[in-house]
Amino acid sequence: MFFIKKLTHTIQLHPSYFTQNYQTFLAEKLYADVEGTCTGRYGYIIAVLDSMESLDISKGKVIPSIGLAEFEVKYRAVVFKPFKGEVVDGVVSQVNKMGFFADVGPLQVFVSSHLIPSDLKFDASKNPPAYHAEDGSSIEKGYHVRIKIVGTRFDATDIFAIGTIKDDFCGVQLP
Amino acid sequence: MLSQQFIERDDIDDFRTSSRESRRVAMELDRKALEAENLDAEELAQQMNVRYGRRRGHHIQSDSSIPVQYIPDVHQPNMFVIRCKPGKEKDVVIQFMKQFKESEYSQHPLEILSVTCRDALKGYVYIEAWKLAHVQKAMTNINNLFLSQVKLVPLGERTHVLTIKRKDVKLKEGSWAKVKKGKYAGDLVQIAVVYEEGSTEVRIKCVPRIDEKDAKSMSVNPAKRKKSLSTSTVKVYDRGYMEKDIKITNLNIDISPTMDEITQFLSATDADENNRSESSLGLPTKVRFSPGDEVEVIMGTERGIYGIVDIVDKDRVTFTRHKSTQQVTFLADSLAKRFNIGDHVQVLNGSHQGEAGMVVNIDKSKSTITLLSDTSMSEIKVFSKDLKKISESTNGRPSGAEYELHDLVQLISNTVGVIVNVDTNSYRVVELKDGVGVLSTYKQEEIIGKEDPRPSTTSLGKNQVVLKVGDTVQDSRNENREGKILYIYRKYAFVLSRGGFGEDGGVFVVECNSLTNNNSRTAGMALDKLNPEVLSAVPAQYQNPPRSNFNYGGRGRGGRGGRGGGYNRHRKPDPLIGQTVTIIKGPYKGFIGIVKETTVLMARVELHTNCQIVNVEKTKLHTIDSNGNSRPVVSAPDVSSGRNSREYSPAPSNYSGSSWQSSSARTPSSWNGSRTPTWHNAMTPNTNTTEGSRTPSSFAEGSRTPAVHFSEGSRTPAWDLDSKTPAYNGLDGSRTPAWDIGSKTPAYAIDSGTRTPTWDNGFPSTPAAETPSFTAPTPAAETPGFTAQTPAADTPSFSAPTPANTGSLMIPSTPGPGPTTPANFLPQTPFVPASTIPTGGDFRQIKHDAVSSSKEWLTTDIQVRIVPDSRTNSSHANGQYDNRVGVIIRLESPTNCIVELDDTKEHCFVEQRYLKPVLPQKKERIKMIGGEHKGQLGMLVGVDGADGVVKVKGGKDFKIVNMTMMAKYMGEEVAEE
Repeated sequence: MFFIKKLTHTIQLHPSYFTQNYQTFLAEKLYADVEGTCTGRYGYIIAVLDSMESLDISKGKVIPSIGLAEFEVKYRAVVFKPFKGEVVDGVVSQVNKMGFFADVGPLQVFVSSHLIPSDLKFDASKNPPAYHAEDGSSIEKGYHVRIKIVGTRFDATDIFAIGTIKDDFCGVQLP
Repeated sequence: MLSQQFIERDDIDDFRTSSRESRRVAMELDRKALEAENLDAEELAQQMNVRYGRRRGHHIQSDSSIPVQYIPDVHQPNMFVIRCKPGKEKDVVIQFMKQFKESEYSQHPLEILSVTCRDALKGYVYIEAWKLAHVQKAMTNINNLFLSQVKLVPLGERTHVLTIKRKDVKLKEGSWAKVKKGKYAGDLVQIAVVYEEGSTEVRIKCVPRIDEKDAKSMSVNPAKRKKSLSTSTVKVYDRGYMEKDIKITNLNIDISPTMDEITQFLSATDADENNRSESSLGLPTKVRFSPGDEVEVIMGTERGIYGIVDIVDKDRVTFTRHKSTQQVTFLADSLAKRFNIGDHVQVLNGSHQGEAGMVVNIDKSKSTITLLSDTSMSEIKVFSKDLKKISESTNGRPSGAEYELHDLVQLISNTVGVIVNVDTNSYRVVELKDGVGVLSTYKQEEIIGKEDPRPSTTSLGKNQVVLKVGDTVQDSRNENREGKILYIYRKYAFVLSRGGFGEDGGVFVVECNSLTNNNSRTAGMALDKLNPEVLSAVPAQYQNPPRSNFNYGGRGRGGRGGRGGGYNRHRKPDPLIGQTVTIIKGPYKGFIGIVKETTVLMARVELHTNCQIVNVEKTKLHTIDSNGNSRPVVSAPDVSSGRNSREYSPAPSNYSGSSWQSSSARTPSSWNGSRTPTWHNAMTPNTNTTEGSRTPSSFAEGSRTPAVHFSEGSRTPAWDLDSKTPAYNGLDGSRTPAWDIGSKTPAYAIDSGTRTPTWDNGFPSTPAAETPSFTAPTPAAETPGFTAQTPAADTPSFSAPTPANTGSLMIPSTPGPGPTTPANFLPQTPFVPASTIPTGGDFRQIKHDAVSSSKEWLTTDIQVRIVPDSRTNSSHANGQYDNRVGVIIRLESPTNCIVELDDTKEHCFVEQRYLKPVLPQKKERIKMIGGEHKGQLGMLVGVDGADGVVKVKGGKDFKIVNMTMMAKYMGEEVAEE
């Protein structure tokens, strides 16, 4: 699910950057630092909404004995965090006999073969490997699938989810 | 008699009536059955209740199952208990029996009624008799009895003596047990059949063991085999399992087999896969619940209800039902831990102990669960009883073992590998063997140690892309293999495939040069480090003071000057463009023009006088403001000299230092040049005087002039990799650029040390020896303040200049000392404008050599290429001849010519703007198309950056000519002798 979240990022600035446009440095650093990252707590930070002007940059505080200044930058960001029970659309990225992986934006979702309808059978002889059903439907790399997330795991810097396509309206979606 | 007849008749009647009666009873039964069928379950239950309900209650109340008629009373014989030798109870009983039989028909039969003993009660025998005297009499001939210890069993306790409290062993078919004794001791067996209640035996299923004796005898002696078969008990085999009856007492039922044992049991036979369904895993064994577990009832009518455990009391578990406050109690046997698909769980027991994963499947009996391991990304099947729910967020992997997953380890076989699976005391390792990843298992002691990961290691991948640890890469040889680099080891990379999936734990080894980098994310600037732009603005000398001052002198300065090199990426449009400037030095001194284009060092100035556009170094330009005051376009000289001599230099200047010098920057003074470190002796001034180190640096350019040192050949500026103007940022504008703007070879380090960043590229190909000699003259031609440098380049004596400098300090007009023998000093120092040197000041004699685009350079017999004109974006004949090569055979006008195309021998009329001279290669004949030697033929001896070394026809000398100044000569005339 996507959220707009107010977040804070702390940046340290070397004295050589104490110039008129230090805010530009801070903003660029912020974008480079946080966009595209993932925290287990908030999920993936997709984009920072604030421009350089609208960022809330605190007054810099010089850290004793180092000379670097520390700035707290408050910003709004679009974050993406998956939840149990959420239905998401993804693209199949890898298929093997244990199931398949699908990319849901930055998130990787694994759909175990147990959670694939039993009429879809793994066919290792095909290239690329795919799940085939007798009625002709199949799942292979690059297909669009709708997945219901049934479990999530949050590491400090990554999120992993497992999903099912056994649910209503889940499975391969026609593009 | 009569009565007899009666009876007979009765009998007959009876018979008749009975047959009739039986038919009636049968019909009655049928009717009842029909009725019973019609009754619905509820009524039936009620009936049953009425019929049996009270009685059952009565039974439960009476707390004894012995019928009243069997309960002993005073009218029955007494029972005596006698001590005997422990272990001899049965002997005693048998002796009694013998005696009884022997004396049965004698005169004095034994008057006791019965003797019995109990297995459970060692050392006692019970005798039933009417009187104590009878017992004592019977005991006289019996061994192992202690006569003195005869006691009467009280009436109330008599029933207990023979009541066997049966241990309530509830065996279920399909449950697991272990054999205590015999050949199969310790084996895991499954209960196959439980006979009717009270039976002491059960039928078990076990994995048959090959009896070595049997096997031998069978093979050796077929005759004996028959016998052995006939004598041994018949064994039944079912799909490879042996079934046999065994006493319950011989079984250990209170066990909890692991998944491994069970799978081993199941896989031990060749039962086909299909039969080995989930259910054959058998019933779950004892589950230990603890408060807080989520449990579900899996048996009985209440199946399906679930909740959280509150109290565990041995076998009874009380839990609160989900979404209610109702507490219910169940036997532990009927409960199972409850999990949902997607739950994050950890394994508590068994070989997978400690592993965490997510539930992907739960079988129907709810006893086994499949989970996807977090670490190995493989599926694990475990009993639900061995699982525990854990939080969704993990903090690292379970440790405990010495090495962790994905550690790079040194192995005993002198190879390295990456751990892909950690078992207890053994590791699965993807090992690098002969350039291939091999999966093998190592014990802990076979691993020598952790290899230092060195996260900074980089390697070159396909197409020379830089690979770092952590980059996402793709194997160009195998499309499906992509992942993140875990380690780079020599030329191989250990790559963890995406999601850690695939064979070998998702880790594969691949040669770096087949990897392509998929990384799109770039790291942000390191704002907590020194700003590189500031760094590059600081003069070289001060970036690394100790080294340059004490050890390396001028060299350090020269070498480091351009460190800031590649940083200046974001170039802003130069405010200079469009301004009116005067040229203050060089061949165009005094000319006024408008700046059209700029590079970092150069400006293209459109002269007012003749509409010519010339390339001029920015340092030679002054802007003119409205008041007519002129100021230098670039403030670099101020910056550098100011910083160098005023701010940084601690030593007092004894020759009137900075102000003078900075002003002299504009005034070409020849003596300066002599002091300028040259290609060879840059260090001289530095090392000799404290001033020395400053002297050159006071002119940022000057000091850096010695961009070339013989000794520093490897550092010699070379062709830059990516940019023509590598080192320069705005501040360095004062440095004399070369005319290399158009060319890609900024080898020219003319007089600007900042260029030297290219040194760091470490291009080994730089012709160190040549460079200095050829470049040295260049500054002379170009550098404003340093004309006299030129002589310096040729100065034969290295130390001489220094004293000379001091001596000539106050006489700036003095031309460089001694460099009157310029060109001949070394053959490699052919200073082109040699003739002009001694004059020291006459710059106008030095022609600006660059081929201005407006100049006509066309000449016959040179090879040219037809190219589109970039300025007007047009091309010759709509581009149909583009990139074709030909020879100019005739000039129609100074800017038009006839070109004979090489391939088709076609003659075309082409304008000069669509032509480009073909650059000659080494050892090729050339024709000068510009410069003072225009029109001369020669031979290109060597190429140094943008300059060529030319042997002009008829001359002995080598000339240094810009490559743009020559073209490949295709004519008949022999160029060389």
